[in-house]
Amino acid sequence: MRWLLGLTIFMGGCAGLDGDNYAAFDQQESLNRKSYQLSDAVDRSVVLPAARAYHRIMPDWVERGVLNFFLNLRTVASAANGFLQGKPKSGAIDLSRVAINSTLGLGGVIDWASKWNLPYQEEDFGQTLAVWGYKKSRYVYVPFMGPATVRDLPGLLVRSTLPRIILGRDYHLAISGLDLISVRADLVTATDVRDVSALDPYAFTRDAYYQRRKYLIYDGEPPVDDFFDSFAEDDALEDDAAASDP
Amino acid sequence: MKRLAWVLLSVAGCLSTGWAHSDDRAAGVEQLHELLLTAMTLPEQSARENLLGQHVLALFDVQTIARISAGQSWRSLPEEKRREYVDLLSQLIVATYADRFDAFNGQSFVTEEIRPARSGHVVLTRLLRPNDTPVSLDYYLRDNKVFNVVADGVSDLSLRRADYSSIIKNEGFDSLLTHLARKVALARGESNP
Repeated sequence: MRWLLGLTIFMGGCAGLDGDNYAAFDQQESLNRKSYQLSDAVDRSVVLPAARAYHRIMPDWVERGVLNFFLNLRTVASAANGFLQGKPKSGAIDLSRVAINSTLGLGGVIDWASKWNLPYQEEDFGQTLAVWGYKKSRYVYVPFMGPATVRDLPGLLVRSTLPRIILGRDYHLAISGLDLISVRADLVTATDVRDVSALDPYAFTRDAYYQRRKYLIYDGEPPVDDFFDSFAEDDALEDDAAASDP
Repeated sequence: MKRLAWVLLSVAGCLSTGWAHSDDRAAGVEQLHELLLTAMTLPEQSARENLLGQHVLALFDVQTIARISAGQSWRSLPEEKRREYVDLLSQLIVATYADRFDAFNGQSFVTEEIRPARSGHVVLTRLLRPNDTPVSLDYYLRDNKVFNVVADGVSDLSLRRADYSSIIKNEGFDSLLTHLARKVALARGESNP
């Protein structure tokens, strides 16, 4: 139902996302690792402490309100990408969100739409390109912005510039700083989990990024068999080894 | 009439068998969820590990998780190293569960569906958190044992394989064991990252 026009293209476009040896897409690993290390160093010394302080000082409802405000601006792009992917329902939900939250939600600060069962659709141009058939894409770690693929770069650019386009001069340094810190504060738990779990945080981040993108491209419903099939090669190796044992 | 009664009984029988079968296939996961909810009320990491350990190790196919996570290097490992590695991974999985589920704030779990797959089945569940978005937790089972947990589309096994392969490739297998031992200690609050 939800797939409509994009169904055929979508399924074709995602075939290349099967199999999860994402390291193979990281053809500039040495450069990307340097970019990661530099970004991580700046994050740990400047951005993360500011985000932790922000989280400590701000009441939860203020933090949520700030996140809602900037998300509301970016929902315009999500709506457009819903339509571009041939999912009018998804696009319409995002447009409704913008209309409701911008008015009743006091400029987007209060997310009434989610309470009324109109959840954020989380579409972007990278997903649109995947739906249109851009199957495989190289990994890039963009300094100070985070993990991406070449395919996702235009969407990343839209995401970072959209508030400035909508707010104009009102999106000055202090406001863009608030935008950055609020997003980073929202990610503190995720990066803390990564730091506790990961043995090689760079490889962990890369794999998590690709998996998350695949999940979004499939609108939260990737084929369950993929997770069996992607480990079939390891099983085959084990079977070979068992067969060759005396 | 007698025939109709038989059909109805057969259908009812099939249905109840189907339900029982479905319930059986999710039983281990649901029991894990019940234990996690109890564990979240216990203040001590060691108490949570004691509560969860036996069930987690019975439910999870740690041998398969270890083998797939190690990639091709598994084949060349001597039996002793394999045992050491599987033992460390078992400790890490239990310690990580006990560490992550350490505070009860009204969370609950819902089993949504049991979906058959080509070589096993998937138990689709949700972790519901008050005032926060739910997290989808999908358990992948073969022979009724969990070999992968996928949270909001991110596969634990795939992450492990990428992470461990990178360490094996860059530092060697013994370094992986050192890292794992450190992570166990970290989850237990015995050392710094």
